[in-house]
Amino acid sequence: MKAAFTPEQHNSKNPQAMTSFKKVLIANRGEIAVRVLRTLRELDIQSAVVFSEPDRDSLAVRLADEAYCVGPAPSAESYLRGDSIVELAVSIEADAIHPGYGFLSENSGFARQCRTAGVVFIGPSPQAIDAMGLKIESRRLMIDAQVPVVPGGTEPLADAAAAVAAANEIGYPVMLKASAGGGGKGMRLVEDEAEVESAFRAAQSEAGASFGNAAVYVEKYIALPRHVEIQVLGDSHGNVISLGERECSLQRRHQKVIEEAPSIAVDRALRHRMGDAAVKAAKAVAYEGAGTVEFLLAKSGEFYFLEMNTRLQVEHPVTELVTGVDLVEQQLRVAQGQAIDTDLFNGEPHGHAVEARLYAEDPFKGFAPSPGIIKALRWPQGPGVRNDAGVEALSEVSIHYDPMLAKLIVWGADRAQALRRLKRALAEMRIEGVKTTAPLFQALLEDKDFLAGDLDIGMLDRKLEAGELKDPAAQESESAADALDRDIGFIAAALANLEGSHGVERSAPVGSGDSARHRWRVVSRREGVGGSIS
Amino acid sequence: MSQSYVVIDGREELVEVTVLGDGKRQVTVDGKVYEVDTGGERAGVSAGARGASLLVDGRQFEVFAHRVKTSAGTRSYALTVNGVDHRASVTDPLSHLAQESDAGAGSARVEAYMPGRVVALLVAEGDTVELGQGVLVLEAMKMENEIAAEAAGVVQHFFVELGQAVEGGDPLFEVVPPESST
Repeated sequence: MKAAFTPEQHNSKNPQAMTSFKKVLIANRGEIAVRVLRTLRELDIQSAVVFSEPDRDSLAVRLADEAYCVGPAPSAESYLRGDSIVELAVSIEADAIHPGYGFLSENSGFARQCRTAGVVFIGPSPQAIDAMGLKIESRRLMIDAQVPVVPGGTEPLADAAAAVAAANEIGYPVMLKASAGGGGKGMRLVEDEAEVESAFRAAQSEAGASFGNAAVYVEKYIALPRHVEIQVLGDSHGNVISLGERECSLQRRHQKVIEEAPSIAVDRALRHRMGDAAVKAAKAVAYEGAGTVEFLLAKSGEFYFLEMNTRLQVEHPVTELVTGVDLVEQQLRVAQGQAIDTDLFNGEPHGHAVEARLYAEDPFKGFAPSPGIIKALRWPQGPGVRNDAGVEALSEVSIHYDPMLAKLIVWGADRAQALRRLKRALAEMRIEGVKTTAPLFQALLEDKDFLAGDLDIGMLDRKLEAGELKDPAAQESESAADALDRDIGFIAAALANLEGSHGVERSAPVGSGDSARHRWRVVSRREGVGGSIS
Repeated sequence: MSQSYVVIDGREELVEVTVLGDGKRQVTVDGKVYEVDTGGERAGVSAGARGASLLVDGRQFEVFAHRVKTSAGTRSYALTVNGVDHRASVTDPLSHLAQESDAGAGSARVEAYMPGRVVALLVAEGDTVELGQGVLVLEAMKMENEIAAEAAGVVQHFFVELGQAVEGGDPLFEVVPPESST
């Protein structure tokens, strides 16, 4: 059995030490702050993190060389305070700011503020962020750069009549989309001409309400596509390379749930073509740093530009595991003006990687949030397993931020081995005190369509809607093999209860008291569950 | 020997435990007798961050039990057996007797699983509901969560009013199976 690739093995061509950055400030929290810290430490660069008041005791703070409080819990008063974060960077003499994902990472105003203050923003230019920020504008740019886009308009629709005319020309079904949109808001599927007018008005008002920009355009509707994205790296010398694709079709309400690299729908030739298109897209905006070009891949094998994410993605580790490239290290090199090694990736991924996003949500109770204190924790270990976590035992999962606890990432020589390892890792893992999405992954690992890799972007929503994915807890009591399997829970509960009544319960479970619950109640009345991420 | 009534996933059993010493317990469930090795006197099922390892006839089960609630002789536990979550409630025999004469057997009381506010009542007291039918809407963390009946029957009682703030574990409503509702 081959061992998982390590960045050291694969990326030994660039051994020269980096000297220009002495200290980098991380303007983020949770697992991505920890992820960036790790590479900084490997490169012998001092790390500083910002934190909000409730994050004082977080894992990121504990692992950092320096940590600075930037405000209270609501993101708008802490992690989104670009002005005070830039000021902080200047006062602690940080050379650069790593924005992570979410928060300020795609805020061109923040990138400009950094520049003005003489601090390097680790990411692309403000112009590149702006150019890719608006859908219609980026569509036009992509058409000019000969990157395939979904057939459709390049201008906002003036009115309902224009929408009807445009839709008729493209042919049904069509999709109406908000130019400033994302996350499914301001989107309407239209099956025939009779529906266009009302769908146009609905999309327009939703777009206006959600994004403050009512511009809507029309595209051909692609049935049951996959979401396949290409990781690119660009530098300030005009080099852009592709590091291959990620398969991100498994989504719930447009949020990625499981990601893989490579995609089983992409062969060598298609990988090459998609990589070329992604490089053209990035070159069109003189892209610097790590970025992702998202495509819809139709069953026909045709692919279409969706959007470009001008930051490090949540799912970047699957690319790291199959290419051996440390993407954060590459971001840092580019930000220091170094040229990227254009032979960094030989064009073919090594093995197969799968990432499962662990959220503090109860997947079989409508994904209800599950804040609380992690009372017990065991991360899986062993061959081919990587955990990128932002929490540890006794961490409090706050209601203020995105509920992602960690990413469980596995590597295998092929997809089947990677999935077996994911199943094994989930069996090994214990997270007590909060509900997590782990049971959803266990259910998916029993699903024949998922196991076959027969994915499209609507598949998970359809399966959840149809109740096809079964809670392993419910499964177990039905299918228990013998009396002991059915009775063990009763044995455990009775023994636990006996201990409690005899007072041998030595340490009351942390946070089970009323004080913790009361705190949630207090904060739940306040504003701002901020920091939503990709 | 001590006795208790344990309910997990709708199944109720009388469980008897006898302490044998050296961390061993004899446990009887539904007439079946098990010898359980709890890992010595220092190990504890309900204690600590590592949970407990139970050995029964050589088979190993890793168990976590955290008490989440205590009310009127019944203790509720968040129970995890080999990584699979369950909710267990344990009642001593006397309280069990009192509860049986008190309420209709088999009534299903639904509790708020997180703090929030009741923003809609979808049915009225006395209405008949199906298993899984939405009964009220709880707004928590800016999301509306429909709370469903966990058994078919008649909505006997709402413990909450429209607009009321609730804490996790607070009772919301009770559904009584049709045959025992009168």
